[in-house]
Amino acid sequence: MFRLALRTLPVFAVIIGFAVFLAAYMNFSGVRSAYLDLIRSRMAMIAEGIGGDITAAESLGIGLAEQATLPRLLSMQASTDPRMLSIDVAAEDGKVLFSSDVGRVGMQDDAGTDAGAFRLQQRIVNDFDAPVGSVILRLDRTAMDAEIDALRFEILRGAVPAAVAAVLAGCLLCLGLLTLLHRRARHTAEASSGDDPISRAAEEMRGLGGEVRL
Amino acid sequence: MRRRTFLGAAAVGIAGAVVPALGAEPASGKPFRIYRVTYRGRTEVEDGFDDYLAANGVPVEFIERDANRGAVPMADFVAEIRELKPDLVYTWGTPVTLGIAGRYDAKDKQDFITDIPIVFALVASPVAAGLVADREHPDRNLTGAVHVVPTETQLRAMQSYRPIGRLGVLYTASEQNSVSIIEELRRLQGTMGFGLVERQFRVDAEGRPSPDGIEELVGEIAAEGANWLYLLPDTFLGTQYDRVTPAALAVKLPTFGAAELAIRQGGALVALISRYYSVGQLAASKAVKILRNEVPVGQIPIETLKRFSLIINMPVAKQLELYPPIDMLNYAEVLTG
Amino acid sequence: MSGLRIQFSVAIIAVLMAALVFLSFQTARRAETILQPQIEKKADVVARSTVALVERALELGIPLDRLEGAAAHFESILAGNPDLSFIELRDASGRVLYGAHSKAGGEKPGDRANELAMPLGKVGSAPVVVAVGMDPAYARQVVSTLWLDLLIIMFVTALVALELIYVGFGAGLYGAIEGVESRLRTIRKGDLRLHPPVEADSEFGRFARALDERLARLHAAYEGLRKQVGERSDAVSQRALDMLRERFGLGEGVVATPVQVIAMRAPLFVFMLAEELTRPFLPVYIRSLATPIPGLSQSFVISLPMIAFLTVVALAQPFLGSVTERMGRRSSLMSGAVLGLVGYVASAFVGDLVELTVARMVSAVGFALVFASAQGHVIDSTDIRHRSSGMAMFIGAILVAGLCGPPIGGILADRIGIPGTFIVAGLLSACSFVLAYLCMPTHTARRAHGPAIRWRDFGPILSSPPLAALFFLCAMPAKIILVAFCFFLVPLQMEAMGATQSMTGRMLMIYPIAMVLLVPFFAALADRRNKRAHFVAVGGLLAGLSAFAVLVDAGSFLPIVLMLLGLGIGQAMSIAPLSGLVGELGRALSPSVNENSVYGIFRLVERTGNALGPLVAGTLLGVYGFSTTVAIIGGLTAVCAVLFLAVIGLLRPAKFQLHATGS
Repeated sequence: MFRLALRTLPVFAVIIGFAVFLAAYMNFSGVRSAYLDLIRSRMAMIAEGIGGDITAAESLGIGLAEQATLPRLLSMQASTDPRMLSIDVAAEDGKVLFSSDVGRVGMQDDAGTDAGAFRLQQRIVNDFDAPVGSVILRLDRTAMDAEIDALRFEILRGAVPAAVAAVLAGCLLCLGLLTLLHRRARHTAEASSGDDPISRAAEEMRGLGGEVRL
Repeated sequence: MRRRTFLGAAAVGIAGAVVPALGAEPASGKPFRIYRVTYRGRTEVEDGFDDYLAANGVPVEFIERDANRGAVPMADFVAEIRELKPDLVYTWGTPVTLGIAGRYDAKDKQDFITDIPIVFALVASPVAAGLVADREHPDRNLTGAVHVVPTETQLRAMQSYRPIGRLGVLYTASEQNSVSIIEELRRLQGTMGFGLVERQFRVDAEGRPSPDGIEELVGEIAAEGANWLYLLPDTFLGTQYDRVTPAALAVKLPTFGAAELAIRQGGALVALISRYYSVGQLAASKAVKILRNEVPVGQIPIETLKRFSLIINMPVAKQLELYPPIDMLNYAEVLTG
Repeated sequence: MSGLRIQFSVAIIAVLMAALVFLSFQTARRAETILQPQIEKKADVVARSTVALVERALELGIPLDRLEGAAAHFESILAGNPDLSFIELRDASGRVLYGAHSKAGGEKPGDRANELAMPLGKVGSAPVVVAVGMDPAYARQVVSTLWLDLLIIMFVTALVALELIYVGFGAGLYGAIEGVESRLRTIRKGDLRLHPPVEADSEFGRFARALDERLARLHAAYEGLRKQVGERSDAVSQRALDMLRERFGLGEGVVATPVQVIAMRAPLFVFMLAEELTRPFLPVYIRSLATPIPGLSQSFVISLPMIAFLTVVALAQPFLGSVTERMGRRSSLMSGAVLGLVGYVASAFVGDLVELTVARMVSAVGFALVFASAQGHVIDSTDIRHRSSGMAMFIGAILVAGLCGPPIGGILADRIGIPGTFIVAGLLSACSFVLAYLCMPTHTARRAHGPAIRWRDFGPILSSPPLAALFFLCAMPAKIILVAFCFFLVPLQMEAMGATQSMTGRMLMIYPIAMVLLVPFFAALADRRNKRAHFVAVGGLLAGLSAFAVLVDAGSFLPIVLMLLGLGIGQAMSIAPLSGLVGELGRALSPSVNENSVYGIFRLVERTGNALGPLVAGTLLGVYGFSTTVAIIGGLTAVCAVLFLAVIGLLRPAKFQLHATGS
């Protein structure tokens, strides 16, 4: 029986363990999506507000480069979130025209090298749908990543006791089922009670004069 | 409201100056030459046009001419264009464009420019005027920017301010443009679900429209249950704002203007307009495509703006006690005084 | 091992469900800690922009009590932000001037803990406040929407893994356990026939051997007794012995337990799973690649690759029986898996409709090869008497794959995209290849059976009224309605209604679940009551009529659920009796007609129905739209079922009264 357990239980352990960790990972993935969505929608709201102001001024004849009220507006918006690295307004070619972070004015904005930032970029179009620039929000990625990592760690760590318990319970159950079968098999094979069909058939044959030894 | 006065003045001052080249240059390395004909002097359309060219780094030299409200014969401009051979011609408004480019089906094309690309601004209906057969494919040396907001768009703006139950309209029967707008309104009645109350300006002995009895007409419109008065782009109406809008105010009838003048000086409650500045930018975008040889002029479609400017007159709103929905304040321009 | 396997399934699924509940509670708690600060920040931004808007209105001179459209504006913000529960504008006394509440907001406004209040800055008069309410249950809501997906994933993972138990246990141990189970089962029922031997390596093997010895001794004694009685010419005892034989099967032959059959189940299951992954999104994917062909409706164009696939399968099937026999079942299954792999991976990268059709046709050849190889293996491993239980295992694997595939496919499509899911299908085909290599025997005793279909049997078979009625009024419509609904119309309609692929995948589980649960029940019932023909007809009628559920309410998903449920129940009623009836009528037809031919033509008719499904659906959908198309197809199926009933009544009724023992 022990050898049997050794051969069969690993199969169940693998199935159950895999399933529990899969569930935990999917939970994590779902919560992470919700978290990122919340952040993105918040940034989008800010970007839309700024974009709307820019567009309104554009249509009044103030070109993007001349909108002198922007720096104050951008700093005000950026100050509402301590994790906001910067809010920039860039021209079509990527050159930063205004920014809440004064050091970035005049730089070339490049999404590829901006690894430390979680970015949202919203294009600004003028009245005939031609792009005139974009609003770029940059959030500090390190804090976000740390939170996501902590979440992943906690969920998976929390899954370990669940997995262990499930594996134990599952293996015990399956072992129990195998044991039940084992017992029934032994019972019938060793013919301990004389009550099964084989014994009855043997009885009848003896009644007809046959010699039956089981 | 001219916020660009300083830049406008500077631009007039440097007409013919060279803008430093930041982008593509013509093959010869010299700036492009644009022959520009305005109708009543420099307007914001030209500001938008010039700013767009500057922002896109297109070096341009302007040859500025003005038609002085039709006093100067168009043939003079045609002759000069033939002599100077500019890279592009710019025309302002329908009379100038017709005079220089001519109808697409004109028999005698000799009087018009057919070999140099022409970009127009502020032609209200190029097809009706006979300039092109199809706005999407002009198929001739002409393209441009139209400034007229489609009627349906205007009705929708009206609707979002306050639902239209019955729309009142006062127009001049002898103006073809107005008549076709009335026909359009009748068609839109069915799809948009509103009633229509029409009145025409009275005519005098010579058949010309007269301002006589405007207040009564407005009163009749209100009495028939109209809850909006549409100030359509009718030329005569455009001269009578100072009588129509007070009459409407008196009977608590909100007015919707289709032209910038109607609201800035005319006293309408709200207007949806194409900003001249943006129209100029749109025309410039087409000019750039032509000058840089990206697209042949006959394949550049004639377009209107995608987004229009909504202007709300707050003092009038206060008088009528009819305030706009607050989310309109996010994108409308509000006049306060 | 089927009894034990079901017990394992239940045990593992129960344990997984418990673990899942625990995990979900934990996740909800964690989710709240990480999401709550973000919700607060968002509420702050919303409050700020609302304050700015209201301030601007007041600056412009609009009186506070005349802020038009404020409530509507708040509503639109709430609509885009499900984590917020209300937005209100209140005066100094807390009275609400304007407000909007989302439906989920079970919190009462005024609950300070979940509210952010921001005063207007500039306007002097009365302190006015914008209050934004945050939904504290949002984190819980996020986790609970995950729940359904997870439940299905757990369920399906358990089923898939259990299918592979054969591989995990090893053929010897699996065979031994199976052997012991079947011996115990038959002995308990009083069937004392002998069983084929099993390996005795394991404990269970030894039990099987011990049981065999008891039975062998019994049989030996019986034989001895027979001889004795025969010598005595004792008629009474002879009759007694005959009765013993009848009751206990003494002296009868060997119970054939199809142990070897199981070898094909793992590779077959995995390959079918690959194909079933594509169900929820295939029509949608085709549509995204399709360019309009002038003269044909778009729905028809979408149906073309599916028709191509099913036609290739239909045409290949009759020939592949002998092909796989010659090539060897194992090699041909492996080849089929390779073709499937190529087809699926190609489908991920195609650029237009023609390329996709070609890729699908390659997959179709693979599919037909795998199907024929697995079926051939079943035929090789079973004798006539126990062919049906072997076939039941074969069909069972396909059905369980049909149950597990769509939800997994839907969830994968939502998370990694449709091309990614095709690649996963390719990987599964590769696994099938490996499993076939590992599990299937290289040589099996070939049974001599006649050619698959004798084409000259076509005539007599199709012109026989009962068989023709059965084929064309029952078998073909059943497949048409199945393929049209489940493969074509429902995925397209779900997508049009805005459902995610996960939802579509779940919806497509309804039919297989009904089939898996109810087919054995109805099959046994029909056999016991001798009412096969009636079951076929009533099942077809139910399947057809359930289509009318979609006419009720076009907007929600419930009518589609009901329709699929009715379809599943109806087809569960009819599918096994239909197959049995084919055999009956075939045998009754004429001794010259080969039974293989009858079944071969039956399968051909079914496959033609398969291929016609998308054709009919695509044509009708282009003209009529979803509800009407479903109603037409359902109605026609129901009419055919009624006609079949009429045929039963009119034709010699005796022909349809079948005896259980003869089957």
